[in-house]
Amino acid sequence: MFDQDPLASASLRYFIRPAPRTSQPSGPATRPFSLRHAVAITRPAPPLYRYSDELQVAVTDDGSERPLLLVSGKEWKTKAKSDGDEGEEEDYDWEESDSRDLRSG
Amino acid sequence: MIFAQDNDSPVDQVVLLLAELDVPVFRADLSWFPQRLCVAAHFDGGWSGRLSTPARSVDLGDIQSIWYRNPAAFRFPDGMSDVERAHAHREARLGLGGVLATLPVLWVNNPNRAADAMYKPLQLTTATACGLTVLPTLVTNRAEAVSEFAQGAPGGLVCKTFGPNSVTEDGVPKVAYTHRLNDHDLNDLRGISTTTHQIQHWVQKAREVRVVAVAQQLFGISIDAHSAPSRVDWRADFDALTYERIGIPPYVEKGVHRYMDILGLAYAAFDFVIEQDTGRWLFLESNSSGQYAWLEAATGAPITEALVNLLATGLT
Repeated sequence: MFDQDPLASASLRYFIRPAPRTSQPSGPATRPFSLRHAVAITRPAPPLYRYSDELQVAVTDDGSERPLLLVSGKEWKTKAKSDGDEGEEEDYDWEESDSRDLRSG
Repeated sequence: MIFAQDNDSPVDQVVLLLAELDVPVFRADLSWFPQRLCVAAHFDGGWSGRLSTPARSVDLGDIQSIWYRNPAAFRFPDGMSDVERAHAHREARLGLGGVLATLPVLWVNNPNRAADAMYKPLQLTTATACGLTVLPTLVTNRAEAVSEFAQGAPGGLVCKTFGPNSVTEDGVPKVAYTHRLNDHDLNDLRGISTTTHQIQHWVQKAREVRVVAVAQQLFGISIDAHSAPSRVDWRADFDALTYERIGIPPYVEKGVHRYMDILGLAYAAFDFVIEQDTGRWLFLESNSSGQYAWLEAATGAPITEALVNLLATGLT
């Protein structure tokens, strides 16, 4: 099966997502060099919302049916520590949005 | 049709604008499949049928365009075994994904094209073939190769990831920003051998630029860094950044258009460095789902409008 092929881009196609994992860093001999300088970040709490099937957008969770976009501002979920392009490796598939930095402005 | 997570504000903005224009929209997240999103498609010389949610449905033949913007993964019923879940995932991917792949629609972006375009080495060769300038880059899992590469890099080297730069360890989210290799690093390259690493020449930057491409429309926005961390990787310190609309040199415009054509992309965000000494635009990478809305908010670049027009127009 092509999704078993470690080199095929097909393995990245269509919604494949590895199971979330948590672990501690290994030692310097086995930790990828690219992670040596990884820094911890904080994740602001996401705004409360619910999805409106009628409007097809996120709305405030207060029953007012106001689009969250109009309340939280345009930048909500549009940038992130990782640029928002590639997301959390263990949570998303390829080129996934990252919702960790939810600063509005 | 839009596949996106249900808490994605740039998508919300596009949906609201499409509604103002009376353009019918069917939005769903793939995490809704199979419990809230259903497909019934049949083949009779071609595929026809419907996608439906409890709130609405769409005829496959009525779809003009698909904005595929980071939908979440399928979410299967609790109680399935790991084997069953893996089987269901694969079947859904090939079944639903297979039907969608046949539709004669505009994809923004086709997930297969976007997946191919995720390969950074392919990005660099494609960019070069399109007349864009690329920095010398090493892909290796040999520490000795890094040492040798450093000897030919008077400005130094950086290490950057090929893919997602974030991990969670012991419950702590971490980001591996682009890192300038210092003497300590070069004297201790343990860990290089564990996997492939992307090592690239460092150049002094006048500024960085994100070029957002929406089909034929390009929006150039400079990103000026005002702190030490952000001068290496602007993602490291958003508060230290300022933005400005910027003209794009014709050769870069031409190169970006060719790049999009070759890789079959309808949308991409390109990151460039303008070299301090030469003024050259140096291609760093492209992201087929690169974010744009915070740049639009800062500069007024009408990227949402361009996306809305593109999606509303489809292939016609």
